[in-house]
Amino acid sequence: MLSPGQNWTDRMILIVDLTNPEIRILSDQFVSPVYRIVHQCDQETVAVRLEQICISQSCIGIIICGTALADSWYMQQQLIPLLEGWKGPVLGISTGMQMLLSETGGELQNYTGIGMTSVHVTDIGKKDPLMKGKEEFSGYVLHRYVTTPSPEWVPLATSGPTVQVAGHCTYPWYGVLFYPEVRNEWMIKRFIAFARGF
Amino acid sequence: MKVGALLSGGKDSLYAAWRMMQTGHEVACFITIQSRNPESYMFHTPNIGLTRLQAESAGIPLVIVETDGIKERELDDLTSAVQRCVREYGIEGIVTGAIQSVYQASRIERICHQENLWCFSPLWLCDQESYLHSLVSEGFEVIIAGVFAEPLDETWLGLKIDIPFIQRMKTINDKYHLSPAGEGGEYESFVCNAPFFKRKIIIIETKTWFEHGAGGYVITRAELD
Repeated sequence: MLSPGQNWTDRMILIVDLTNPEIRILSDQFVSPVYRIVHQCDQETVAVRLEQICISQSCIGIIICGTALADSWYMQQQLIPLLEGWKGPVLGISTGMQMLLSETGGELQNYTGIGMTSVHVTDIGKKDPLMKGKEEFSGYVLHRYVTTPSPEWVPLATSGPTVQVAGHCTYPWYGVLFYPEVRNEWMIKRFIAFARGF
Repeated sequence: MKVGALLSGGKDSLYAAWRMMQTGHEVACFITIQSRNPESYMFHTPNIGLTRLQAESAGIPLVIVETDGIKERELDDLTSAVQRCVREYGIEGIVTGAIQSVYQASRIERICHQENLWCFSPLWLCDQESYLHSLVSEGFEVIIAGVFAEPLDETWLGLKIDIPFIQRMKTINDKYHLSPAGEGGEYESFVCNAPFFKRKIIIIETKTWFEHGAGGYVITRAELD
């Protein structure tokens, strides 16, 4: 809820860049498109590097972006300790999802996916605010790994045995394996609406 | 990092290569795939034969590979070209000018993954109007080399991409929902000059054609200034 004198622009979405810091150009491809969508929603936003996460009181939600197939820098990093104390909305995209799920007990498996894939919303997903009204659609994937989630997470959408969207059972945290900025901007827009109303 | 840049002769491939240079990477070679199939989704562009002038002007070696342009099999030809660039120039990544095309991007991503290379698409999902403004302000001289969608007609052929062009595209985009950067194949471009060119390309002779709503500006003679 808004405090008196506050408006939406006082409250911002934190976008986390987990691309390799030595290859800055990756941010153009993996962070800037998400930033633009959030900005187009008239939502105040700031993009920070993973190692510079600082969650201020004005933060209403966090989006963790993905990175290139060949990039493994993020695998030497830890995300969950940086989110310590944060119980608000999180959307982890691709490698962002991988970090969220694997650091909360999920099992990482080698499985490469490149290109458009069919995504089916589960029965639980159909009732979730992020996925409501969606049944089947195509998503753009670019990953070297998939994560089998721990029981802390529930699958909201799948492609065969692969979990494409997962929701945390306790916190308003989501992981999405495909890149929603490619042809599925609605998901980022819904996440923003969800974060605003949380 | 040493990278190889896919070069079609158009603005997107050369601007993507320029972005790599600007961020400290070395474009060790250009790769041009010359398709004999005018219907090729991946590689056919007007004036692709002139990429040798662009590469010469940039002082960057060019690897040209010819392909029959048969869908999917042309990717084998691209793979061979990439392998050759790894051997001859020690590249660790490939740069593409993909903006929105999932078809193009995913196929190149697959080749890079298979060859253990990085894949960079610095224009991916960029704001197209801002991108066109960057092209102009950073000194790219780009002309329209082909038109393939209404309301673009023969009067657009050979036009320079400048501020009035961007404004016209914006107006058309509002009405017809065309991609301002031509990413949907609405138009093709050719780069005559870029910030990293040592000499500008001078167009001496052209042949234009326009029929059934599509047209080309074919450069039949050109040389370096």
